[in-house]
Amino acid sequence: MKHGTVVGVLLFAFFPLYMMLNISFKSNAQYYSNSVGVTLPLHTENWGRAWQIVHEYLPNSLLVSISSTLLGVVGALCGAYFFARLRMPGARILWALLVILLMMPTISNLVPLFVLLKNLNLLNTLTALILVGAATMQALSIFILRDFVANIPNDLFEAAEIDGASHFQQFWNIVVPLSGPIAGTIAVNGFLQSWNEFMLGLVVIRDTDLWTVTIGLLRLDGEYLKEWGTLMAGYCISSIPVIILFVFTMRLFIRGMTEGAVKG
Amino acid sequence: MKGQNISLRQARYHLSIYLFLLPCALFIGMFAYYPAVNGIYHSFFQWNGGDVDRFHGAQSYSKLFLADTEFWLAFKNALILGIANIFKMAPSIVTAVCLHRVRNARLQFVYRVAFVVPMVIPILVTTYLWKAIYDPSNGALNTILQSTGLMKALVWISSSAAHLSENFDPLGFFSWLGALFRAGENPAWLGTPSLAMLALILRDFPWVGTFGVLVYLAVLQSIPRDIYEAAEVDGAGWLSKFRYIELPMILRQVRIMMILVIMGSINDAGLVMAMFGIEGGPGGVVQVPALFMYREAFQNQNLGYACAIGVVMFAVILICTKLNDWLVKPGD
Repeated sequence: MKHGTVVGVLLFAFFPLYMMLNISFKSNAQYYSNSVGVTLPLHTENWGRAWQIVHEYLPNSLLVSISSTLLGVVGALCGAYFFARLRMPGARILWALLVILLMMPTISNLVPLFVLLKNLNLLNTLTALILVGAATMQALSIFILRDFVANIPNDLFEAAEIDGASHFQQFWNIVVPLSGPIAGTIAVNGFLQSWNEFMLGLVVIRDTDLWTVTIGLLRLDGEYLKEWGTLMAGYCISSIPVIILFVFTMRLFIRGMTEGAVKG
Repeated sequence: MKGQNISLRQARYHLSIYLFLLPCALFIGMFAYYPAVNGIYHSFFQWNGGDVDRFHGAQSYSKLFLADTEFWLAFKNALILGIANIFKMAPSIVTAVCLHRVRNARLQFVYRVAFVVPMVIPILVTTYLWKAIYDPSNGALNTILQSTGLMKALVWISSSAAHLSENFDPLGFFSWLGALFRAGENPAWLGTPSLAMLALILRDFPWVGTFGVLVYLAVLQSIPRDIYEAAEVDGAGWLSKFRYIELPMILRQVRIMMILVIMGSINDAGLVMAMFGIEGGPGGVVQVPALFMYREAFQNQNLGYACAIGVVMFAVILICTKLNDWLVKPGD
């Protein structure tokens, strides 16, 4: 019975995916006559047309997501080192500030953020998205990474200190190598969040060729009234980079999970 | 925090560590704290982002609390959505338990990988997919309902409820049910005020968020084998094992997630906006607070008012967090 449940759930979970692929090969006429089943012939030109539209947005998304993730992880790792290594004077207050930050709804910052970006002349740039993205992922990432750094045995640090290592050397030689898996997980999370985000971009970016894939999807929805096949193909294409990301980082997740399997 | 080095005197030797704070402090200070403080400041102004910047005191707040019932309706919606989301965690739990019980390790691995795949699709894409499913004339939902005859069943339920409501109508439930489906027409799930909320709640069926499944699975995997064996020795069956071993651990996780889920539905404007447009559905019926703020700011150009809304939202979140602490503490 447990197998039945799992397989059943999987079937339902895959249904939208199936639908997306299926419809992407239909012409509008085929869609109107039979939206659920598979119709032949397959209209592959939908994909060509979708690619035309989406392909100018892809590099933007990639640039923003990769940059903000890199900046975010570096910043967070350094911050985590500060909070976890030693309890410096003033750290308590700063930590409390950080916790408050976790509770702030980022959306209520949208308005002043917009004006701030305007004053910094960052409106209509991808840099704005990158910087804000990096800032947004700081709070949670520092939280998680601090626990991690705090769990590194103190002896390692003390030994390095005795050998005369500066804090930077300790950070670079102890924390950074060990943080691989967890920094990776945070990076993937941050990447996904950045990829999926569109509220700020919608408000900040006016040049349509600077749009990220996700914002472009919003516009596609309004505009393509309604080439269903092309639309669905567009959705497929915008999912592909994320799928590729997962294929490569799967080992990260699966490792964390198969370890459990061996135990249980 | 690691217990070490509190004294100011010793800090002299470790000053360089403050440098590590610099990058994140810059990021957070500039892009999170400054806007927050600025927002509070501007909530007392009438502002349109450019030239109009007139101080007018607590007018925004009084308007919000006294005049704008739409806003509080939005909170009600967020609460409904939040509670619905909590219930939607159940299928993930059940699936996680089933997955956990799969004996064959290789099969379990295959299942787990299979679960990752749908998770991979970006949220906006799934939102639009469901928008297509809900399409009245061609969407998969209506097509399947019609072809399997379930539509007729729903219409029958509706008309019976309508009849019932003439005599017996607690809370207006039956008349609501009665108006839902009529014979012969394709319900416009996203266009009808009475159906819109339902559509929003029902999306993503079967509500097995693969992320949730993996988290619960991890929780379950951390239960040591011996407890299971001890239970088996005591003659525990399938159900008892669930009730006494797995459920408490999961419930702990759920309690932690509960307020977070509600907070999430208050803060998120994108989901509703993508599915229903900036108005928040037919007659603004599925509006959530974040969307309301977004509209006031960027469509109606009332930036000062929007800042006030943001402040109120933050206050509500703070209350929720306090509630969360109060909920999670005892029993932990």
